[in-house]
Amino acid sequence: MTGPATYEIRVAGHLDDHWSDRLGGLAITHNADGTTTLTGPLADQAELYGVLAGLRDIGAALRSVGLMPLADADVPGASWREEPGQGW
Amino acid sequence: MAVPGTKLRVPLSRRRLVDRSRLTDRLPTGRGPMPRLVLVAAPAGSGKTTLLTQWLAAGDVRTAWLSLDAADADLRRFLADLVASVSVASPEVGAEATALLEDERTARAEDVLASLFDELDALPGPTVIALDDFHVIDGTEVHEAVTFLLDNLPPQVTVAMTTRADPPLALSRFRARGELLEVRAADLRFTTAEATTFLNDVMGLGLESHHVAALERRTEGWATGLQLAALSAAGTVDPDGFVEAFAGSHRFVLDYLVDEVLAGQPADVRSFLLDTSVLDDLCGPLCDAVTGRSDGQQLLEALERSNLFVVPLDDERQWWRYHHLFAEALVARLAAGGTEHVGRLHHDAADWYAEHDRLPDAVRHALAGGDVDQAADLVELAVPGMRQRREDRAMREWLRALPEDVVRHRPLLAMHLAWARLSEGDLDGLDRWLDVAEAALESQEAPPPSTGPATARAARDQDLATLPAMVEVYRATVAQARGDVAGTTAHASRARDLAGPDDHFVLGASSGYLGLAAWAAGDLADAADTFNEAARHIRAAGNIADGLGMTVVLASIALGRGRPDEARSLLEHALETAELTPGRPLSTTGDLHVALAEVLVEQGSLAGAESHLQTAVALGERASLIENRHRIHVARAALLRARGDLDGAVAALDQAQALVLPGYFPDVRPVPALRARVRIAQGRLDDAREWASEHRVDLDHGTYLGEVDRLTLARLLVAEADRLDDVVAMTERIATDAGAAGRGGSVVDAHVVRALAHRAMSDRDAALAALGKALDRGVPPGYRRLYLDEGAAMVALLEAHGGESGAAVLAAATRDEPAPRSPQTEVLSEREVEVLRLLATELTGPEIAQRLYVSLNTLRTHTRHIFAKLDVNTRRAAVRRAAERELL
Repeated sequence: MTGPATYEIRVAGHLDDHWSDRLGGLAITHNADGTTTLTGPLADQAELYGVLAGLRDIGAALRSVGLMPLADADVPGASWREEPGQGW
Repeated sequence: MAVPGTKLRVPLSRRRLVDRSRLTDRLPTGRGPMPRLVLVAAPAGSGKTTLLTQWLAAGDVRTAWLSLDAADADLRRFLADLVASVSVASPEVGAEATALLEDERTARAEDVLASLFDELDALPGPTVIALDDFHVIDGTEVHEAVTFLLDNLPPQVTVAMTTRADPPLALSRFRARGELLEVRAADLRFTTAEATTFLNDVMGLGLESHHVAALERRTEGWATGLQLAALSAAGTVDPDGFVEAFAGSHRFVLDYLVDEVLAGQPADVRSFLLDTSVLDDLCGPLCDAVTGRSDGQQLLEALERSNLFVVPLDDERQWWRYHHLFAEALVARLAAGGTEHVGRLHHDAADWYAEHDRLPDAVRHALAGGDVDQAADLVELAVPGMRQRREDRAMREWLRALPEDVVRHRPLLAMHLAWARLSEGDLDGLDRWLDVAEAALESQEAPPPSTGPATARAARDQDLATLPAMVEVYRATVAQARGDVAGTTAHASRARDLAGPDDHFVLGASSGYLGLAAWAAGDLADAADTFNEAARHIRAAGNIADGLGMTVVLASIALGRGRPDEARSLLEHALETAELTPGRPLSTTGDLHVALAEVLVEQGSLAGAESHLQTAVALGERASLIENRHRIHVARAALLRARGDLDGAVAALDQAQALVLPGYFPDVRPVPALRARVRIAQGRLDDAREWASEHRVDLDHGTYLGEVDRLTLARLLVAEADRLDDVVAMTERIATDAGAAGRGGSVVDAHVVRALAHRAMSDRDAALAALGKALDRGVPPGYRRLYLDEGAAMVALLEAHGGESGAAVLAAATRDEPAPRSPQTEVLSEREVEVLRLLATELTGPEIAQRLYVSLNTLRTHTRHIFAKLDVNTRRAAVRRAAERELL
């Protein structure tokens, strides 16, 4: 997996919505079992690792990481989060 | 970047801490064996750093502390911080490593660390190097350096690291060998007993045991959770109610508790906490700058008193930081309030840092705040200092973070990118960025802002003033590398015209190119003057290694002028200066030895030449510029030829040819021609003939650069007894032309060949007359091998000549040479072999010094010499190499 994909990450506890920016802009949903699901498109696995490091740094306990089945509409456009174009 | 110095000290704790002897007892005391690595790996806020400080405070162990931050992913920065931390622990350690980092053009991590090991090894008792927050390092370079560190540590040194993620080191290997001691999340988790001590004894909450148990369960013994919970409970009138509500909630512990803590604060404290959460380090004036208030100092002190997650960074109550997790929680809340406000906070922080001469911090905040013009202004100010400290990685990241159109309008930033391109050898990229820099300079409307620290401003303005000249220097570099002589000269002249009298680098570089061009054109007097001036400027610019290394070129020019004696004294003088320079051998010292060896061979001092070659070998590649690497084999070939090993000489020249890098210097003595001369001397004329046709050597036409080729072809014709009249005419022409242009080396060479041609034509008188001219011109400055290498025919002529100078040449052939010894035993002195044998034992540095009745410093000097001569970095490698060479 090197391209964009939609991920689903579950952590213990109900995370407040204001963490979304810190965590790749993923959508935050609270589950009845006391966990939180973070979902949304990420550009690549490097960004996924960034989100996981963010969770690590706020002390959130990871429960699972998964890939969502992909609907065409979810695929970010090619221009989405391009590498800096300077070529240096 | 943290507050200078605070990264390098064990974090302070002015609070009372819970006794954690069940954990610290597991850690080594320093009296028994020490593990190689102590790894404290657990989530954020688990109390890793506190545990480390408790352990180190209790024991009797020398501690070098380093709180890592993201900037330490830059290898050079990491090494500098590591060395500094060890120096804080032991002031006598680290001077050499620091000098290496500052002086060498490309200091290798292994060398810096090896120098540190030598000195750590000599310290009595155990040392712990504590690397706090190792997870912030995301660079493989630093991971590799730490692997090297762990693999080569002296036995009494331990590395202790705290991390939120297991580091990419060979942990399983250390584990299997019993060299790893781990403390992990489950170990750090507060037990109910510890939670009771903390909540009721330390915090004085007086909670019922079932409430303590509930808090312990809800926070899962998480240190930060317990601490936040205690603060919340202390701030409420109904602690029991708080515990019950908290225990019954699903909310993320950090969110729940930070909200509780904030709710317990007055509104002004709450907004202070949020606004200052953008700051990595906190001091009163800096907080005032971003909050617009004036009570920053009092508030920070009050926060510390009420245990509100500020960590003191010094003893003076000047600098603090928020506990990382608390800061994360505050920043997330602040960001939810809108980016505009956050941007303004960063903007003001950047201004404050710039005013206080902390440009890297200023740049970081300007970039975080999204004000690209402010950021670009600050990067321009920071460039000279960052380049001096060689923090290339940070520079690269800053420039990547700026939009391309901003960079394209900043001549200094474009110029920095040009320089970066050059250091990668990308000439096309260099050319492109030079165009950008020039265009940006032309279109620049306003002068750069007059804010920021004065010294950085002066350096920036100086860079801007010399920018047009620097562009020309770089263009000359490109032209030179592409073999465009006219272009090199044109750009270098323009650079020299544009330079001010104190622009030593520009003057040195441009004169250097002009000197090389004059050399290539055969105008050696001008070449010598111009290149001499270049070397003077380069030294004045502070680059001693290159300034001295340029003597190699000056010596070659002197040889071209027929002055081996001058070449020799230039090189000897340069070597004396090089040896007086403290620290490790300069990057050009080996080249000076090689060049001197070549001159000594010519003068017939073969033993002296050999000894300089051995020194060059012992110094290794680090003391030689890449463009000079082939020369040691050329010098070796001359020595072998002088000793009669002609096959060996050919083999050495083949090795030389493989290393020749064209484009740096005029190829006045092409290696293939030198090889053909040896083949002619061997009588293998077919081989030499092949060379002549392959290189299309023409007896009648050519420039200065072809002279060695043509005089080689002339030798071949003499050996073939072919076109001898043409040879005589051509050598007379060369002697005349070269004589007029001051190229004495070619004059002597031409007369030698002419003498041989006349002899082949059985014209004894003409042969002796030509030889007489060759001797008159060549013998006083020291030529010997030039005659002797021609073998029996020349010896017969010299004997027939009978003059004093001919006798001097013949004497050089029969001079009693001491028999060459094998290079390995020549390298090490007896004392050094003695030291080496002790290094192979289990004895520590101090024990070895004691046994030899010498001071530790003397021992260190011996080991340094041994390492240099064996070309190794560590004790272990030295012993291995010595075993290979059967020195033990």
